[in-house]
Amino acid sequence: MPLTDLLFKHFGYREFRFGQEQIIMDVLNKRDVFAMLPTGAGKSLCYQLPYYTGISPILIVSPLVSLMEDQVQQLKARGEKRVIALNGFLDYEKRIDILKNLSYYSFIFVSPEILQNKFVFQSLKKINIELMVVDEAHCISQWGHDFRTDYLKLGEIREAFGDPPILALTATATEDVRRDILHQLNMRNPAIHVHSVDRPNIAIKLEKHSSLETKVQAVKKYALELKGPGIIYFSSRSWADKLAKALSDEGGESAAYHAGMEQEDRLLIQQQFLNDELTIICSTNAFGMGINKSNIRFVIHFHPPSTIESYLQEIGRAGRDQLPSIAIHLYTEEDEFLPLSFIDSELPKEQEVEEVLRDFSGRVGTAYSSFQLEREGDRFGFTETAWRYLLHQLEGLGIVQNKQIQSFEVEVSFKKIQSATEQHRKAKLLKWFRFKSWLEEKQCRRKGLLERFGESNHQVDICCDYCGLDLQRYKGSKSQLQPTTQHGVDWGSELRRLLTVSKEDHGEKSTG
Amino acid sequence: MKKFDTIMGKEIGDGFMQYFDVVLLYIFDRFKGERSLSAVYHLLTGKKSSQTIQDGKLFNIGQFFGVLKKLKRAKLDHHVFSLQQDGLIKPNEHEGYIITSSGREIVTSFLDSNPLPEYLAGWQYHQISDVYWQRLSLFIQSLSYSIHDNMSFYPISKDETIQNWVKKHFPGTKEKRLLVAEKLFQEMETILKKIPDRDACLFVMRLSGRERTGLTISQLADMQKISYEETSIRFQSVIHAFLKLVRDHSSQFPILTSMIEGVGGELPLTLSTKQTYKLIESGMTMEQIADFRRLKRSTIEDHVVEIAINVPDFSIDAFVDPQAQEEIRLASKEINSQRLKLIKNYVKDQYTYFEIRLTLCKEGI
Ligand SMILES: Nc1ncnc2c1ncn2[C@@H]1O[C@H](COP(=O)(O)OP(=O)(O)OP(=O)(O)O)[C@@H](O)[C@H]1O
Ligand SMILES: [Mg+2]
Ligand SMILES: [Zn+2]
Repeated sequence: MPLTDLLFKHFGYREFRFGQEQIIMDVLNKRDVFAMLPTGAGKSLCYQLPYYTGISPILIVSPLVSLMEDQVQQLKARGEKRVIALNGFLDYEKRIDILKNLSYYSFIFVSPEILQNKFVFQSLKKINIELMVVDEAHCISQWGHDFRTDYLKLGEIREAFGDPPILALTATATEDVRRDILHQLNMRNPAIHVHSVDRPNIAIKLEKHSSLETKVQAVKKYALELKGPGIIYFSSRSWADKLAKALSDEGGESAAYHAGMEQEDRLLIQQQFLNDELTIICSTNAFGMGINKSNIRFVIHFHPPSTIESYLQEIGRAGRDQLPSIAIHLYTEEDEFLPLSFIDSELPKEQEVEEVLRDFSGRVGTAYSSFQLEREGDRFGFTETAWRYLLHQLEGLGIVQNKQIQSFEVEVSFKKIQSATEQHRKAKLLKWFRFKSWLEEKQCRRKGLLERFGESNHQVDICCDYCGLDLQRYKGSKSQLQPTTQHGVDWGSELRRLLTVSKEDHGEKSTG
Repeated sequence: MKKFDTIMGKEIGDGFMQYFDVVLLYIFDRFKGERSLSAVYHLLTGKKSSQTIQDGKLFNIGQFFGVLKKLKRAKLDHHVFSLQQDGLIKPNEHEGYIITSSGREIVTSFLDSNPLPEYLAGWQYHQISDVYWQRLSLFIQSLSYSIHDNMSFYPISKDETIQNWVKKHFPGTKEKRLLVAEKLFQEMETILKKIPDRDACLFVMRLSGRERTGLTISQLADMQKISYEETSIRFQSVIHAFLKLVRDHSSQFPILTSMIEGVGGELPLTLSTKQTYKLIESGMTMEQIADFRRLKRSTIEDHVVEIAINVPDFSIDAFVDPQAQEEIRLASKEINSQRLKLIKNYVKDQYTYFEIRLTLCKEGI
């Protein structure tokens, strides 16, 4: 069957989007493929469609649990049953159960960390993976903005799995990161598809404020005036909470979303948003990469992201239906400090490193499971990223080998780790400065962004505030949301509405 | 950077008495200053340690076990600080707090007009309430969509076991679905009518179905203009009400009863304690178990206490002589305290802390 027929049969799309078909052809020819397509371009399809030509099972390495689960739900919603996500959140018994029946599944999503687990690894090894997908592949690179140490081991792992072809996907990789990805994954004679990072349907506006007060005023104004749905990004949970509340008080349908919330509540917010019951989400970066809602009309940054790549990922949530959308970045001089403290929070502090080394030196020989090791940082009060980073260093220095503590020299190791950390910090600072310098440039915003990815051409109709922008275009009428059902008036009738089919429902059905 | 804090404003809700404060006062009152603030924190966040479990029983506050799982320690400290400032509690030498007479007045008058939810039973149901809620809410969501001929929705629970359970128990034909929906409606209505309207409302509005996604705890709190903590506690009390009523009158609620299947059977013991329990049942002594499991004797003692609390027909006679039990109970009554040290002094060090603890916790049942 021609590919376009498969596309229509299984996805309901008439034609491929730009770049998809060539990528899929190379995948079908069993080549290693590196593909960079902008956010929202339809990268998932590039590994999903091959399944319908008979390539199965497909292993997808994905960096975020939430992203993985969304992909699973989307596949299931299309009626695909043989889909499973393996991650640290599965409890032990379930995991064993799934691993025993692994050959049943066609799409297997894993976190890079879980691949370190012996049983997971052994079970996957047995089932003859036919395609290994590395989604959000920029995470593999030291120089990428979301560096994850366990991504570095994927090269070896693929060999152990009998060398299936690799498909590496990303929307945001600079030249050096791209090289790094090819290298780390040991890609051989890869087909390389690099498309522009640009999202021409997203207009870009930068707006500098002299004080936090005016910035707060501005974010409220935009949030209430612009046509939704929209996302506003904050650097902290408390800001997200506070602004969500402030907006609701002024009549906007808004809610906060961040990792400090109960998982169930997070899911509810996400679904209210997907179902258009909620116009605005005030979020930390927990709501980002991979979120796929088609009609988001604006993304506002109240606080800066720490890299240009995260910026592109975040604005990339907008306009996935290809309709005009806008990204507004609000900033003040003071914002500069936020990423700095963020960077520090992602790296272990001097005395923390020392504490861990002392502790470990007294427990030489202790063996861990990968699950224990992942959580060991809690004991010392580490953030997840900081612990991951230190663990990587410990493994690099041979202090932890095969998840077991080896004997080592505390002083020497401490110095080595400190200097590596200092370097890492500097690299992160550079990334931040690269973003910050963009804010100060006197030229087309889009041009500035693209230059940072080594691209030049940027002809779009409605471009940015520098080239000239009419905000009116993006404003909405007040009553864009359907009034939600009257909240909490009478539980009896609400329960009845959920569980019974009324006469009107029948009426609806016969007419529609 | 200063401005950052001023604009952020203070944490929501300072200045006036909150539900959460009353709950804290209530717990302090029960603890009688005999437990530290950490014990309060562990209780509310539902830390599954023998000590917390024992405290819940001993001081009769198990209903609050795990009702605020995401509570931040800083928030607790902050509230305790203002309660102390307002003269409602006083710190004592055990890093605990004693309620003052004005504190007690406030609790009493507050609870008079606003009693604690009748069915709140955090400890009793902590192992099943979550699964029960997830099954019920996913079942209702699926039913709500399917009877309106729409099966494309994002399931409200991502948990595979929950999804599988619902799939397995979902009525196969449209006719059956309509019937089950109608019956389920009646069963739920019967139960919800037995609790305060506003609590029933929280519960129903948190459900998802066709044309409306459920509300989060924060959204429910805004809707009823009450605090997050109060909402959270009230909402859970409704799940507990379901569990209690459904278990007591299972024939009256066949559908709701079916949702407890397979989750209620387990003893509410921590994993490690379960293993100890098995070994005790196989006839091993505490020393043998400690040796066999390479655990400290004190750990095994904690396990035994946990077992005594949770397994109603577990006899402690093998661990404390019945005569000793009698004396310890008497001592506790006479000095009107649960403090182990005081009791130990009173019985002139005749018995170990372990024996006293074990006896007291059995007494609390
Ligand atoms: N050929 C197509 N025609 C129409 N819509 C498509 C096509 N391919 C993909 N889409 C849709 O585009 C949307 C975005 O796809 P997807 O989530 O795969 O983006 P992505 O490239 O992975 O973006 P990100 O980098 O942000 O993760 C999805 O809703 C998808 O169904
Ligand atoms: Mg994607
Ligand atoms: Zn421009």
